[in-house]
Amino acid sequence: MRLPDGVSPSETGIIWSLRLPRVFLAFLAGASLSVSGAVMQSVLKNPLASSFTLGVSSGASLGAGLVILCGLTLPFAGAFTIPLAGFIFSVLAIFAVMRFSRAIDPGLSNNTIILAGMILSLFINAILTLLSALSKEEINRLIFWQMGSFALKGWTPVLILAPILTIGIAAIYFFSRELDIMTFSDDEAAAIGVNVKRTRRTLVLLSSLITGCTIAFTGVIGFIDLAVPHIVRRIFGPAHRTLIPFSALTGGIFMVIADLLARTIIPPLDLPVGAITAALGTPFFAWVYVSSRRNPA
Amino acid sequence: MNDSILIQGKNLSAGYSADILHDVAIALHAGERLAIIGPNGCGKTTLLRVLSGILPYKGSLLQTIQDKDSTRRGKAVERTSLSGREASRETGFLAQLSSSWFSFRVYDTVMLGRYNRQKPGFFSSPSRTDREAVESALKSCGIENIPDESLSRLSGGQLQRVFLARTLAQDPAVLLLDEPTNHLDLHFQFEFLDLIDRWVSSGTRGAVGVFHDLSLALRFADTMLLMDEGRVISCGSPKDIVHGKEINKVYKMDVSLSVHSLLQNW
Repeated sequence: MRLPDGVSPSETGIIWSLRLPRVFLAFLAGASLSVSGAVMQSVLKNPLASSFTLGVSSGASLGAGLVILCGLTLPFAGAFTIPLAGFIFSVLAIFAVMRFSRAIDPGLSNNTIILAGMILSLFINAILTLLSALSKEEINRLIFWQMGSFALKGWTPVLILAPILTIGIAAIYFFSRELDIMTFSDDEAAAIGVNVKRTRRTLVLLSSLITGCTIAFTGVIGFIDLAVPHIVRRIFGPAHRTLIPFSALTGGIFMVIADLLARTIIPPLDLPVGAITAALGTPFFAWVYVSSRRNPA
Repeated sequence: MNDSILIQGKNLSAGYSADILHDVAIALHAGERLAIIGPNGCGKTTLLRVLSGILPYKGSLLQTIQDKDSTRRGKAVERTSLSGREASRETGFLAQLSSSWFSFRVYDTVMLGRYNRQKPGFFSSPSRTDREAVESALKSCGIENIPDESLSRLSGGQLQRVFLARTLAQDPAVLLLDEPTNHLDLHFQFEFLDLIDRWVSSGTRGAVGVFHDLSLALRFADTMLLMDEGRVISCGSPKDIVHGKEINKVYKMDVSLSVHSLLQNW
């Protein structure tokens, strides 16, 4: 295939190996974070629930942080040591949260899970702060990873994430009706015929899986998982048959735009995309909090 | 009322960290309306949660399968051997207070009650039977004119009707009602009790209701069960129970005298 005149090979190279994978990665990350936010909020019946309040993100940070600070590289994983550690630790974190919740409250009530998640997050963040204070040289790398970015990752994360996230989101979509029912009380959901404990465990694990994998490659990107499901609910209603696919779509597009802004707003600086989503997301977080206080359920 | 038994519980104990129910026996027959009464904290709601399968129990709780599609129809089986879907065809539970953080439409909320009849899967959609069941439940509860209203815009009484409609759409053999008239206005309290009468009169169904208002309990019940401190104190005809000796001991007052003097104010 011949390129039109005036398009140099270096430009196609930039588009093919830098820009395009970056756009795909941003879309995948936005989609998976938004879907997992929607699931966590519905399953835990809490509009402020997200992978952050449940300790999933902190878990991933700790995993990546340990690798960076100790300068570890696993022989078989190579460049994937950080993503792998991030993923493993995020799953460990959600297991710890569920285990701890069950130990203090066998009924596994939603408030207990959120409380346990918050406690674990605070605890892990404290450890991270201590660790980074101890090793000043690596602190910049850790901070940069925690801010999240889609730059210079190439095609590999896209090719790994695409199948995992597609399967994960499809599996979540399969539980649309159970998700609808579980937004009501556990007692009612059980009486309607849903196996509440098992379904909730499955859904929390599925959404931790897709967030853990995503965060592991991109670093921590906040607020999108909290904000996007709320916007989609306002526009398309709370039924999960529409909420799940439209959260994926809206989240993906939102993340691509946020990343575009991060790259172009102050050229030639490549701002961390997490800062853009957080800057847009923080006022939104406050608005959700205030308006949900105003209309108590 | 005929003799076929729907629910039979024996030696039931249940609770949370410690047992609240002790050695409870309960029976519900087809066509029967059973009222559970007793002071606060006596275990009424706990017993209802056991009957609805929400709370695990010790002892025996037999459920006679009424579901037409079940291969075990007519057999009395232990409650714990039923799957969630099977159980939800036998008992439906109307909680005392309900809500959702997320604003579902009235119609969609009632349709959730059809979960136990729908096939799981990506593309299964409500059948005609499902839609008819939902529409008739909406009509029974007097909310057929607000199917598109969002739950967040409804009053407490309207919400209670929506959740009743959802439980009716579920089409269980036994309705388990936790203080069902609590949020309803006077008119719909009476309408509600008429509705339950008609619903139970099909002959293969039954209802168990927890009541604080003893006058409503009398209006509702064929049989009354008086509880105190997690035990069944007496069970029998409603008149006998409310005029018996035990009720005054349990409520620490002359119940019938007090209610009569209250009504003297009219």
